[in-house]
Amino acid sequence: MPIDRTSCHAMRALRARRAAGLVALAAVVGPGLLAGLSDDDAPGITTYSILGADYGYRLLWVLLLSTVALVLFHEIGARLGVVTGQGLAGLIRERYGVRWAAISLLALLIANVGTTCAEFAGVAAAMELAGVSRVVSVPVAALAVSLLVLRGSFRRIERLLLALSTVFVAYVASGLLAGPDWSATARGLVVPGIPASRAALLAATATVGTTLAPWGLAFIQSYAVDKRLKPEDLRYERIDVITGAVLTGVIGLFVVVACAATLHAEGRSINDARDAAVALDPLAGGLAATLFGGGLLGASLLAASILPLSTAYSVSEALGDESALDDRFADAPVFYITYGFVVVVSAGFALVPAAPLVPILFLSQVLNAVLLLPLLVFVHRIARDPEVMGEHANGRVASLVVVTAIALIALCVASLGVLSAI
Amino acid sequence: MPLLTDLLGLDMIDHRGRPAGRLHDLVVTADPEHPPIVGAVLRGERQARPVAAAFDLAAPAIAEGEGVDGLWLARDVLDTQVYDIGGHRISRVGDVVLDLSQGVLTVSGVEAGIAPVLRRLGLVRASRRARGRTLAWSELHPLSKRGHSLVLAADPERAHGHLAAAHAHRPHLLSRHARPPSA
Repeated sequence: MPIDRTSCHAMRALRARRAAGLVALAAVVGPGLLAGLSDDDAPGITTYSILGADYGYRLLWVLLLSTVALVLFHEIGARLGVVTGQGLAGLIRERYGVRWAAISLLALLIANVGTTCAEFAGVAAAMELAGVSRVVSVPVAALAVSLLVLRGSFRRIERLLLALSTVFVAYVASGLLAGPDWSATARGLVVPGIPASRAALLAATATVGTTLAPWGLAFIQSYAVDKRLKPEDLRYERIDVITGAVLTGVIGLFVVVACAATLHAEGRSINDARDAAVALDPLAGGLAATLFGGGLLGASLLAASILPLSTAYSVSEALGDESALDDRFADAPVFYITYGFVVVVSAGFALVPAAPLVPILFLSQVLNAVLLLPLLVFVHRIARDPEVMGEHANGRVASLVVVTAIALIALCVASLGVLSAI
Repeated sequence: MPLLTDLLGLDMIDHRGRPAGRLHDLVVTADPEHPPIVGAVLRGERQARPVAAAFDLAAPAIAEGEGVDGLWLARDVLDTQVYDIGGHRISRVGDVVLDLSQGVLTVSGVEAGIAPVLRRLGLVRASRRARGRTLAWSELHPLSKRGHSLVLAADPERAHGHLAAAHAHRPHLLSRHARPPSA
C-alpha cells in the first residue's frame, strides 16, 4: 500500500533525524554540564546547607531564581564563546580596552582566589572529620593538585574526583527519606519570603554567588571555545546548559530540603562539617559523616584543580600572553605565576590555624556575588552588541530579562551593604 | 617610533589652525606593506575626516574634504587577537607601531605581548622588564575589510583554507609565527 510505504519512509526519516540529533548533542555536551555541576562544590553545598538549616524552606525561591539566572547567563557565556572564539576577559579587552579588562580581571582574580580558598577549606573540613589536621591536609592537597595539573596527569584522576563529588546526589535520597514538608517546600519556592535580617540577606546573597559564580561564567565561555563549537551547535549547547543548571538546582534544592527537615527542625545551626553531615543521617545513619567527608573532599579537590588553571588561562589570554600546560616556565611566566599565586594565597588563608572553615566556605560566596556584578554588566553589553554577535546578539526582550536579573542581584548586594552599614 | 596609544587623545586642529577636537582613532588604507594614515576620527564623531598632507605630531591637523573610509586602528586592530597560520591564538595587539617619515605617517607593525599592556596601564617601569615583540605589518594581512570581522593572515589563501570555516566571523589577526619567541 502506498500510504503505508509513505508513512514507513516518514518514520525512518524521523528516526534518522532523531539519531543524528542525538549524535550532535553528544558531541556538544560538556561545557554546560560541567560548569553547572561544578557549582555543587564544597562552598556550594555548605551555602545550601546553611540556607536550609537556618531558614528552613523559606528562602528556596532565592535558589530557584539563582538557577534561572544560571541558565540565562551560562547560555549567554557559551554563545559568546561560540560566536567570538574568545574567552570573557579577552573579549572585554577587545571591546573596552585594557583598563576595563584589568578591572574585570581583578574582580575575577579576587573571586577565584576566594573560592579556591573555600575549596581548600573544604579539604581541611573533610580531613578534620577523619582527624587529620589542616596543617597536613591543606599543603598536601595544594601540592598534589598542582603536580597533577601541571604535569598533565590531571585528566586521569578527573573522573575519580568527579565520581567522588557525585556523593552529593545522596542528598536527593536523604531529602526524600527525611520526610520533608512538601507543601512548605512548594510555598518556599514560589512565595518570596523577604530576607529582612542581615544574616538572611547574607544567606540569600551567598546562594546567588555560589550558584552563579564568576569563575563558572569565564569557564563555560573558554570551554565552548576550546571545544571549537560552531554557531550551528548552539541549539544543542542550550540543552547542555539547561541540563547542567537544572541538575545543579535540583541537587541544591534537596540539600536545602534535607537540612530543613533535619537540622532546622531540631533548631540546629551549622558550625562545622560534622553539623552539615547530619543532613545525610536519614540515608546513611552512622556513616553520614564519612559519606559527607568523602564527597566534600572529592568536590573540593576537583574544584581546587580547575579554578587556578581557569584563572591562569583567563589572565594569560587577556594580557596577550597565550600559554598552554606544555609550555615551560620561561615561555609562559604569566600563566605559571598566576597559577602559583592562586594556589599559594588560597591555601595560605585556609591554613591559618584559627581561621573558621565554615565562614570561609560561606562568605567567599558572598564575595562572589559582589564581584559577579561588573562581569555580568560586560556580558550583557557584549551579548547585545550586533557588531560582535551578529545575528546571535540578544534582542530587546532578552536584554530586558538580563537587565532585570542584574538589577535583582544588585538589589540583593546593595541591601546587604545597607544593612551591614546600619 | 610613535605609538598609536600615545597619539590617541591628542588635540587636533583644523586647516585654519583652530582647535578641532581630540583624536579618537586613526584610519589607514589597505596597503599591505606600509599603509599611510589617511584619516582621523575625532572624539564624539562617527566619521573619519582626512588628515593634513604633512602630519605633524606636535600639532596634528585635519584637512578639508569628505569623510574617508578604511581600517580604524583603535577600533579594528588594537587589542585584537593574533592567530598563527594554524589558527592557534598566540597574542593580542597591545599597540600599533607607526612611522613618521617626511610628514607621512604610516603603520609599520603591531606590538604584541604583555609589555604594551603594562605601559598602557601606567606601569611603565614594569613594562620595560616584560615580554613584548613587534610584528611587521607586512607579516599580517587582513582577510576582511573592517571591524570585528577583521582577520589578518600571513598568506591569505592558506589562512582562508585553515580558518575560513571556523573563524571567518571572528575578529582575528594572524601572524606567520607559530609562537612569539620569549623576550
